[in-house]
Amino acid sequence: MAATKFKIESGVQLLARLIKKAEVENFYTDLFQPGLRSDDVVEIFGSISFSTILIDVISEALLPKQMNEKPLGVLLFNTVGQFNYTDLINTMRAKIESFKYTNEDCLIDKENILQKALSNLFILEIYDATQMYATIYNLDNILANKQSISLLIVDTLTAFYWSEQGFKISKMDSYIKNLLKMIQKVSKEYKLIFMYTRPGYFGSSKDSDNLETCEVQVSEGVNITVQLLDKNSTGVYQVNVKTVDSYYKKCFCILDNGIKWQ
Amino acid sequence: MITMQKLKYLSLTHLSESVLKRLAQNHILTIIDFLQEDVQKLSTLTKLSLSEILSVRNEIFTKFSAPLINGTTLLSRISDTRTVLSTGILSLDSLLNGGIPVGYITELCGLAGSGKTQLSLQLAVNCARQDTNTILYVDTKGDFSAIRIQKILDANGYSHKDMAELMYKIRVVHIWTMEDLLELFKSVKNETLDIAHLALIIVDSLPCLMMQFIGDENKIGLNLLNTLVNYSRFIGNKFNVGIVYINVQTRWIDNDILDMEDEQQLSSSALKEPAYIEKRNRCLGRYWQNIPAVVLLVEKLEDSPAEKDSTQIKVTVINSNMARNVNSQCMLTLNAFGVT
Repeated sequence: MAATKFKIESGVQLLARLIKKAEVENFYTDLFQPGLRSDDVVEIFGSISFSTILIDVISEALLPKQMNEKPLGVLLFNTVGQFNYTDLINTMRAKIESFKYTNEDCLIDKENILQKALSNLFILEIYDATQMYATIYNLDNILANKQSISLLIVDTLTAFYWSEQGFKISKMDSYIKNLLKMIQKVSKEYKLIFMYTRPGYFGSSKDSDNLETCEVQVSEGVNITVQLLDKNSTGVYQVNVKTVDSYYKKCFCILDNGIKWQ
Repeated sequence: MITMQKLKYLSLTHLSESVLKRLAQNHILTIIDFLQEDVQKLSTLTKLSLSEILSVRNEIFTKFSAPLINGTTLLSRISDTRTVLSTGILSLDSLLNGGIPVGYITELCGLAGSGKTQLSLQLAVNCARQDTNTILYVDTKGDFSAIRIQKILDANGYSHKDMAELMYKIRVVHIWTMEDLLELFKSVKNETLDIAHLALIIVDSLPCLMMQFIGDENKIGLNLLNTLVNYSRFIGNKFNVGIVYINVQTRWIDNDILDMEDEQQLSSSALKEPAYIEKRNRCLGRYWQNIPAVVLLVEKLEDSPAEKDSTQIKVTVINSNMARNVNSQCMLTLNAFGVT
């Protein structure tokens, strides 16, 4: 058959194009300046647990600070089993408690708010490489069915790397690149913010652990890199953020109702 | 070694032997090969219609794509099932926000002789005391001591009948290789080995099994470890089980190496003492470091003013998916009554 000159569009792609999803803007401004928008690809790396920071991002998406803001649907790939669900629920409960209610709102059942917020969260528990790839190829269908999803989080992207290595070992950087390419093909189509985590050691370059050198090559397709450092003696965590044209530091501490940015 | 699922073993509709043969001729052997190929091209290759190709794709998705779990289902699951397993030791429970997290991997690490095995035996006993809990105790060192357990129970005033009942709930398996451990976990995962009321799995210890892979160029050890982690997560989540791995800490004294320039600078200052620093390291390598959801460091306090025949053990959270818990500590006592 002669090569077609036209791009053949699958039904779901057509659907994605026709849905005309609203673009997200100014998400999670506590850390990102000027805030994340659709199509942003964010890498979070470090050697401590990512659970706490991801919980803050997810609860912000599901329960925006401003009550008139529209919540974002979240799709979470849980591949490494670090993510603490109980902590997520507790953080969201604490957040709902801290909302300033008007007299009228007081009548609203707080458990109801939680239920409603959680109905916008979708989780995929992934247990091996085959399931990971099959699910990535199935993302098209998942996103077409759940149009509220605007934030895709993969924690972590590299969980099955070693189980896939045999006699020939593929380079860590190209492994990440390949996965990114597969996911971005869909995340762009559906105008998602795509965030993934990477353990600090995972990378082909020796310098990849240190953002401060500014030599780090932001992986192809990634436009924001976030380095999460361990807490200092006063319990303050430092975060280094590198975007295409800027580099800055932020700090946070952890309170009972989640992260407090400084 | 994990290999991707081969199409020919899946008996998918439309994929007859001749179709499979044509696919194989074009190096399309696994489900991933199939999924990544252009649908149009597959149709041309296999002479199947587009809709038939799409239905094969959907069949693969039904079988292999992870099911979507909604947040509200998560909420009811968390409120309906146990999320922690009490350790039976009050101070340890409060350190762990209620106990060993169910569905997660917990690591106990410490130097040789720090009391890790004693603590794991106690965890097994205390967990078996509750309800109908059954414990799978994987002994890789051959030093599981039923006698020690019996002594603990004796000291706590257990009758022989109660003792027998409780010990029956602790299933001990001796495992000497990583491959055998994987086989065991696989059978638990696939329910070919059915352990009723399984609540806790303890592996004492993991580095023993990983030793043989040190320096292995092909990284077979890491491949097996990754698979073990995957199985552990599956078992933990599906059967609501807590999983505890014992890891070893190594220590050495390091004369902190300074390069020549630094040394020259130092010699001009008053600081001439070489810097001897005690360094410690958790075994199992960098891949493993971020795997456990909770890492507890167990340390024996040598010169504690404790009573005769008893030792103080300090437990510190050195890593946790509940960040605010990191660095919190508790003290335990090890004596004839066990660890309390």
